[in-house]
Amino acid sequence: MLGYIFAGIALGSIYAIAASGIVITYISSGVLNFAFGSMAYFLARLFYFLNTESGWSTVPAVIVTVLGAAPALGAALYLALFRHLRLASPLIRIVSTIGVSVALPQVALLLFGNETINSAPGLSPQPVPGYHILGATASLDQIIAFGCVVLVVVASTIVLRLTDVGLRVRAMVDTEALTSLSGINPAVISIGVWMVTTALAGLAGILAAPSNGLTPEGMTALMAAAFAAVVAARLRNLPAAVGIAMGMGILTDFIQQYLPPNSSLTGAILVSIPILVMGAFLVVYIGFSGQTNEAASTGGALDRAIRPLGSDESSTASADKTVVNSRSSGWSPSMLGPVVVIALIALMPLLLQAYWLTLLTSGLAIALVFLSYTMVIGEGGMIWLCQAAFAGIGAVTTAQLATNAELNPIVAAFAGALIATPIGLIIGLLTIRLGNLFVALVTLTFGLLADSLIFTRDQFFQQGIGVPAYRPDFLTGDLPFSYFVLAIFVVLALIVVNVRRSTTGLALAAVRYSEPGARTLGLSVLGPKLLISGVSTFIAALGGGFLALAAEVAVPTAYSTFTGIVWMAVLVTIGVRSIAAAILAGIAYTLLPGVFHTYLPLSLGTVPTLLFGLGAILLAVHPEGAVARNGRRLQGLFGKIGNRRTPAADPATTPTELPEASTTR
Amino acid sequence: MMSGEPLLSIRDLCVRYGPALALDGISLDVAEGDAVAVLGPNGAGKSTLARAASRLVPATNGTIHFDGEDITRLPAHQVRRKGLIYLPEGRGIFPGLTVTENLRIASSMLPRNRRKAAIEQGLEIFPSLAARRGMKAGMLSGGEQQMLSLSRGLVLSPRLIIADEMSLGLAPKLVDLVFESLRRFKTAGVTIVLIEQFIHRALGFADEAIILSRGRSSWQGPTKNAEDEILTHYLGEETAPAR
Repeated sequence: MLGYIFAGIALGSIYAIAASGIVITYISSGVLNFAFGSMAYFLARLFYFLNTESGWSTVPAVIVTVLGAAPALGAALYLALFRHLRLASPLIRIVSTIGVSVALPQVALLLFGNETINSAPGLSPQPVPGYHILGATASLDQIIAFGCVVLVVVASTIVLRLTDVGLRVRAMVDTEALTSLSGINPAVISIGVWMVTTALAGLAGILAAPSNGLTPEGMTALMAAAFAAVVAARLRNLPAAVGIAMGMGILTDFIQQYLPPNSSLTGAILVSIPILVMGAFLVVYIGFSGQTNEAASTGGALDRAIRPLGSDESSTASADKTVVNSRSSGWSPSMLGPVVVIALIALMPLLLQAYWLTLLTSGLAIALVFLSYTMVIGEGGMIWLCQAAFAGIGAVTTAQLATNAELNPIVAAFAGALIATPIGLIIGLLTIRLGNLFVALVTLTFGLLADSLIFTRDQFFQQGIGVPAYRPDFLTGDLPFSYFVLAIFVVLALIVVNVRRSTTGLALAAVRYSEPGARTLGLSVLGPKLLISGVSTFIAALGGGFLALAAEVAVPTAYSTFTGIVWMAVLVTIGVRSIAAAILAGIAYTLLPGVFHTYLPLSLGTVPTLLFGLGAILLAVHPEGAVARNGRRLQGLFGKIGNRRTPAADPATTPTELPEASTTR
Repeated sequence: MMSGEPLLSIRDLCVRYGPALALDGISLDVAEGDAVAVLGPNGAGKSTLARAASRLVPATNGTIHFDGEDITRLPAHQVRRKGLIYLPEGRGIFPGLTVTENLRIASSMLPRNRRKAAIEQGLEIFPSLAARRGMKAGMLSGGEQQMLSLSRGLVLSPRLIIADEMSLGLAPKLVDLVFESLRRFKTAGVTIVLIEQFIHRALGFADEAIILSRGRSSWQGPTKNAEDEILTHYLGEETAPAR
């Protein structure tokens, strides 16, 4: 039993180091670093390259990795990305860090090769020596992990409590504006914090490699477990995060001794422990306070006072004008873009050959899922990270009903969507009073639970091959099926547009722009948000069902939450409130990798994912997305041509009294 | 408004918060050792003028010179180092730090051997702060927080203080204390830009005044001529006495 506890302490130590890094960056910059796992992977892979592949001894390799490359990576990411995020909306913060988490492993694969490494040496000499303590054996790797967490806790306490540097960091956590008014450069402190926390990511990655292996997915999943401790500590309480992380590690290994070995259920339960811990704490917080809003706890009053008007809503502000304008008539010029895009895409099945037509069909099915993001994030302003889980539920239900219950596959897809919808409604009801970041975390928790508890069931998983989901006879070929999916897309797009242009849509636009403002107008948040929750879940699950029919098999792992997060990053990059963006993103998601695989060397196969990640990172600078940005440019161009004919006054040149402007937030 | 080289010179300053134009072409000169009151109704742009002068918010147009140097594009922390201090409205303190730590942060630009004396000096000015030196600043009363804010400003021997609504929400006795402290600064030769809700006290304190209305300067001049203008610009033409 003691052996399990030693292993638990080692695992808890890795969680604790990761949780420390995540909490410190959050309280100092307001950014919850979803890329922590990728940073850990990148740096652990660099250490493996130096130590194992290049023959460096451990000490110089760890010094170069943790004290050289990690701070350099942290500084570079801060200068390129994170410094733009302090005033960005929660959605942009989440998506940009997800962009890093997508791009960084691809850079590592390009630099170091894509060899699968199931176990890598840590900091101890090989073979790893073991020591007998109280009758049980503890490996040197486990002792080093515990030593590292003690070192991190002691060093960070001394630095934060007793040094001028620590005082400056704590001052900036309180209020960045007043820190700069005290003659201190906040950028220097921020860059220092990112350098230190990236070093912690590197250390956590190296310590995790012996037990966890070196894969981007494995490292991201391990670090996602550390998020549970961060959430349980309400994102800001460092000692609590470390304590809970340690406890979670010990609990995981303690429970493991009572579970049957080599059972899929054991694996599912162990993976679920951090997620259940996160879910339990969230339920307690919601139960006690009724609402949880992270926005109120970041920065001081002065920081909020100098924040530019509408900066939180930068991704939606321009679109809200469109909502108001487009309600006045049945047809508006802004609808021309999606119509032209869909018309051009409708020609593609006639022009493409077998392989490309198959990719296009899958892309159109993914576009259906993307429409659910358009609905829930673009219209509802709710950052849901579990749309892939809904798509997965739709997919496995479609396959079960079509193959095992011999239901018509199309009817099965709609039935799957109907089965998933109540789950979305319950999540919508539970999260309605939460701040954006907590909504994201609750939905992430649900998605991860679905991954580990539902999608791993043998009934759905079938040793990785999934359950067949054959198409109906009249849609067997890719050509008719692609047109059928396109028709479904058009119908769903019309529903999205109709909701946007309805009174509900207008109310949602008001809630998105300012929830307190909308309440003062007497607008109820509950009804519109529940409607969006239900409709978007239905669309996601239906999209999942058609994705399974497109592939003619429902493999649950294709709908993992991490895949869904990449989907979201791709869509937000192109435009989260645009119908055209949804279909373009769907097609780009399947066709772009096809182009790379077909026409470029195999070594460049990771480039499309890298591009998707870089696109998401660019959102920090251009938050409205590519389609919206270029669409606005085109509208501006047409507007200029129009204005030459009929000159009009520019309302922006009229001074506006500040309180009046403030009421429009 | 004045003769000689001004310590603070603002020309055609414009500031936007997103779509809202908060300041529109403000010009203001403040001579060294003078006290200038910035007056105007709510939403006139008084705090925005202070934030722009201290470089907390960027100017979209115009220039700001401090002691002859163009500071229009300098970051806030560098402006602070030149001796321009902005004491923001709503308690310019770090609520999560103790009283002593607040003063440590304020004195962090001094050489190490002078910091301790500066912190002690800051605590001596307001004895009630000295008694609470280990307490978190966020736990202090409103008056004590304002004292700490003033004390933070004092530790570095500033050249110009922009005091933004320092008396806001304070009991009359504490308002007296705030003005007494500001007068002490003024006597010591520190230039003061005062943004204040108590108009008559501000006019009694300052040498010059500027009245802002909807982001524009509607009147500037010596405080002795300001009384009539204030009625006009706060409450409208009808309320002004016949001239």
